[in-house]
Amino acid sequence: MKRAGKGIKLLLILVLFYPLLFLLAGSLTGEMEISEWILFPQYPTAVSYVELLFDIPEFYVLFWNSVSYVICIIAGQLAIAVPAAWALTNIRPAVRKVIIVTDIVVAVLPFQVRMLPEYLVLKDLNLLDCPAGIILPEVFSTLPVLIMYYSFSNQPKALKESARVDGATEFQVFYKISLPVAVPAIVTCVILALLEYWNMIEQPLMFIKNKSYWPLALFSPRDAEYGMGVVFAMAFFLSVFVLLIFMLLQKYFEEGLSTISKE
Amino acid sequence: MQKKLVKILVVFTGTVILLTIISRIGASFAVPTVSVSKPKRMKIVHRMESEGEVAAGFRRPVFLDEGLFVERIMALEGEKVSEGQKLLKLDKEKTQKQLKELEYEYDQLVLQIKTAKSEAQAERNRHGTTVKNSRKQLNLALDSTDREVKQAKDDMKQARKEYDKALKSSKEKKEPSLPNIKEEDDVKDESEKNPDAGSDTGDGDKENPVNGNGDKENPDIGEDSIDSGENDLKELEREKKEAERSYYDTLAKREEQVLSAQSALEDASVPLAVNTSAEQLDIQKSMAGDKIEQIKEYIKNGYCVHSPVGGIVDEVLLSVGELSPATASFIIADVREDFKIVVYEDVEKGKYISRGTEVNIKGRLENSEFNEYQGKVHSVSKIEKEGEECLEITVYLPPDIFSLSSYVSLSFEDYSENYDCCIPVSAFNQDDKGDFVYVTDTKQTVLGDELSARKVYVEILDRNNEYAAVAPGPVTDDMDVIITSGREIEEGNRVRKE
Repeated sequence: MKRAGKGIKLLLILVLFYPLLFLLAGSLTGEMEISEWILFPQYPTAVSYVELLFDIPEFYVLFWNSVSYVICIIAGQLAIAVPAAWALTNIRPAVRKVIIVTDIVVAVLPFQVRMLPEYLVLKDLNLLDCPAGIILPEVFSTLPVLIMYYSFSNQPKALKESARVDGATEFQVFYKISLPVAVPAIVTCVILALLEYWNMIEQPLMFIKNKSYWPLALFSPRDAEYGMGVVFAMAFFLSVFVLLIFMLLQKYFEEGLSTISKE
Repeated sequence: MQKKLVKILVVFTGTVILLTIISRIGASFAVPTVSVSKPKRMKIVHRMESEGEVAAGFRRPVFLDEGLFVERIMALEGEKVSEGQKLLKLDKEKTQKQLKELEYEYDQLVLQIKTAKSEAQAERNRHGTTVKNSRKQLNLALDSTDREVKQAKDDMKQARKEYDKALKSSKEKKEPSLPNIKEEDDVKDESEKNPDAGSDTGDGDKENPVNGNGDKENPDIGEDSIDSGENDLKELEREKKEAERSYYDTLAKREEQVLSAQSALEDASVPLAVNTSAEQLDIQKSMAGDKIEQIKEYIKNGYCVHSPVGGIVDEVLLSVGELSPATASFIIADVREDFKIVVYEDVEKGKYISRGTEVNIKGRLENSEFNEYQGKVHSVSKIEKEGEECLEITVYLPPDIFSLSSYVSLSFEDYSENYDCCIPVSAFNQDDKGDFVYVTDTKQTVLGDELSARKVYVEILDRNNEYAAVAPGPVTDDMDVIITSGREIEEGNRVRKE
């Protein structure tokens, strides 16, 4: 029974890792074999990596664009969402309820619904075809507000009360007591934002014409120019990068999810 | 584990930063640097540099009589001479000797002319006599043959008459009515006029029963008298035929003799060939006379030859101790006229030079002072020189600007019409389809605004060493044309401006 369970686990792991293996195999396959979609190339070659890393400066432009977008969006979201969530915990319950419902409704709206109004607003603000047009709408995302609200509201009230009794100001309670406790929730916000905005395609395609502002996710459709091997190498390279960050923050992510879901 | 992951992430990020830098540096090296220029509206100047010698515009040749012995040349090449100045001195003894020889030759020619003239006269006389004699011969032949013909005719008439008489008496004896003799007489008269017809008539006699077998038709006449009459008649008929033959022979003989005499007269009447030997000798005599006069003139001038004009001795074409040639002995450059420079250039190189093309001439004066002159091409002509076709370009200039025989540099400049689109020649390339240039196109790429090369085929209208004019259309004045590139470029290559 135990062996069967192990076998099923192994099979599941293989199924989960198959896309990554496929990417790795594709990136190590030469141009002659790549159209056959084989898992184990007969003549493995690292030429796609060499070409990607040394011969295609566009890759790095797009890579650093993506890094910039992700950092700016995450930083913006934290700067907005954390104080907003703290404020929500301290307002009247009736108002809070209305705001939270509104936030949830906005959070679940897909991009396709928001696309046209966002486009019109950005056009009026002259933010089309510039990085701010991508960053600003995402900075005001409601999901991190909700996550942080649930994190703050799940904190023990006695902790904040004792600080106030000891003479701490409201800011000191927020900054020195609640914020350190809410770090796992912040990391959760970061990871979710990283996964979402690292792979964003629709927003840049809609709002940006200047290719030099494109994120890395738009590199893939350019396979006709660079070849499939290069695209596979790029995909594997990025997967490893995201995987590394995720593994690094995994502990906080789990804690964050648990603190959010306590209520 | 956490620390390891942090390390890996740091290393990963550091590597990406490093590779980014390397990649950008590599890309900047890979993209060729080009210099660009916008097409200009301008004139194409066709400039050609050349060198030439200043020569006299008008050169006068000085001729001497051929065969005079030169003792001393008194004017050298490049020397200025005035009109009447001594050019050379002849050898006294040899000139005297040559004069005597010429005088002797002159006398000989006089005698020869006399002889030739008298010979020609005698020939003419001989010819006249021959013609006269031939004419006389012809007249004699006509006279004598006419007489012979007349005699033969009389004989023939007499024989006929006798025959007719005998025939008549013979018929009267046989029967009173006889066939019409008159008819026969008419036929005979006809044959007399026309010998051919006469012979036919003779033949016809045989068929005529009256002439041949009349006795068979008259059986009543006595046998003896008839026989004697027939014999006489036959004799007379034979005599008549003999007389007729003799007459016709005489006529033929006359014809032959007259023709022969006429032919002799025609031969004799052929005009004599023109004899020009006397005239030729006369010309030789005249030339010898002139030569004698000329040598006497030299002798009178102390055996010296003088320059007919003032100028600069351009060429001396004889040497001391040699005989003067039949061609010119001296060439005197006339300094009163314009100087000229003649340049020979390759046809292709000088194709833009024509009459009126501006030329800048730089050179030195006699005192080594630098001078410059702006002139125009006087003429351009295609000639063959040393087996190759080339252009002979002539430029005239005033005589006081450069010294004669000095070398000057010439710069010819021909200005074309104004062209709308002129591009430096370094921009041009060529392939199977023709001439083309690369222009830059701005493309928006991931790396920002980038320039790429685009091939544009052009039609070259005119060109010089620096610029070429192209037909308007494919290239417009707002385009950046790639003039030079640090590396070979192809269609679609990324480039960057210097």
